[in-house]
Amino acid sequence: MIAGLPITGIGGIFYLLLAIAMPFIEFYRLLRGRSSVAAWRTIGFQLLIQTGVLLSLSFQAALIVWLAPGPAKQAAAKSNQMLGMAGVDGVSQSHTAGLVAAGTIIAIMTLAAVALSVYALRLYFTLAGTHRAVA
Amino acid sequence: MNATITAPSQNSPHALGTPENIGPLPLLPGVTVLIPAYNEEASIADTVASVQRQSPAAVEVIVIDDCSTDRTGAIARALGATVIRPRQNQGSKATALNFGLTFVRTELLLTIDADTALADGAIAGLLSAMSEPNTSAASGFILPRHVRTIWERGRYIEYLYAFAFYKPIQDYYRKPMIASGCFAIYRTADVLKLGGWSQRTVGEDMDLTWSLYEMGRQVRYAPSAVCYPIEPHNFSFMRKQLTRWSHGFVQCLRVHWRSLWHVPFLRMIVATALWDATIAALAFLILLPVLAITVHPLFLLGYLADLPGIVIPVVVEAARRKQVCRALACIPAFYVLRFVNFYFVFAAFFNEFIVGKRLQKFEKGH
Repeated sequence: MIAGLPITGIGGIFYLLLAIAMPFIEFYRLLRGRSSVAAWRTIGFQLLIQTGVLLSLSFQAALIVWLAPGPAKQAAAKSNQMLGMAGVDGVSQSHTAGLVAAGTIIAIMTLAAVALSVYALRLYFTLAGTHRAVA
Repeated sequence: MNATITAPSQNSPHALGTPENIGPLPLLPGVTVLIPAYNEEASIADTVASVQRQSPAAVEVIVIDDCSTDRTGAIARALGATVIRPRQNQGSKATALNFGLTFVRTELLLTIDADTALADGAIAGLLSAMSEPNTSAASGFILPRHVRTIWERGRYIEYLYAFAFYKPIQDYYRKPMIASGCFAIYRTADVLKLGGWSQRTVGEDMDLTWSLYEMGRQVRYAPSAVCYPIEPHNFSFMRKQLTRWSHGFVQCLRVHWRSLWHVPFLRMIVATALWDATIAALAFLILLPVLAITVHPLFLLGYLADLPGIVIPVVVEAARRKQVCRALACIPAFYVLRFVNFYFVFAAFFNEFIVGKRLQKFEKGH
């Protein structure tokens, strides 16, 4: 059972980041003698998927820039300025990179906010539990 | 074994019919298959036959005929399964499984929905995932048996996506969000320790999975164990299934939220799922149209923003199964199902948390 897939939202970026971390974790396990061929196979398959996703996202952004150059360039310029990628005229040479980066940054910032909220709530409930136990 | 057993009398060892009351009998090696069934005469034969084809074979195949009014019990019995029948309909899958649990005498038990057929090697796949002693449950790869209607097509994409992308990553980090109830294996002792399947939620499989994590046990995902359930073929059945799933998720959050904080990684999986099911979905439904009207129509492209993120995992997995054309043809149906999902998830949150109307009635979704 999965409770439907209304939207990938931050879930998409969350799992993408987890997949990117997998080879590093597995390499650490390899050094400790706890790695396995099956794990590397899973990692290879996931990296294939993630590479495809990133390439197709770039293609999609390029398509948007091509279809609607005006608004797309404005959005790209804003995100490039945010990222410090702006050129002399305030607009980066790569509008496509700007669009992809903007979407990614928004998703990562939202994910970070959710993660921080989870850890803050966990801390709160742990402390509240300790306080109650002491009382 | 080829028998029908009705609910035992008050003096029988199974008299109380609850898992807590099983005597301290030693559990034998092997697997018992439990198949809860209510009016499943159209599909039970395929299910039982697919179990009987498995190697290694199950010690016993028990069909819990939950007072069906059709020939479910007779068909299962004719195929050599043990058919047990409570004195009255149990009302939910959890209670039917608990009734069946009192008959299990093996270390492992496997639950399969009566509309689910197994691919060859499915049980062996799940057994390999149970090799570590700390593992309490495992589930496999699910694919719809029929991919014909718009609802089955949408579900086909959901499953390809979830079981090729989310689940393997969750499993790598040792925290699959759920051991799907339509086909899962469990350590009997651990299920008994939890008192069987709880009836406090309508998502008994998610509830059990999260309870196992809270006990410090492991749950695994075995992609080589493939099963084929019959998915809802029309809106009426889809409505029942999505209502149950959405309410099940919300009820599990309600029951487990205090202990979930202490289960590493699962808490983040649940938090992201919760965000995507509520806030992100709301932005998708309301924010995008508002921005498209007030700022620029280009914002409507936001509806396709995650299309690459959906299509690529689906196509890569479909390529492994030589089903690329079928998968691509089903993508539009996924978008229809996605909007239907929005409604049921919101309705579940609204009813459970705001109106305070809990879903208690278990309705079959196929």
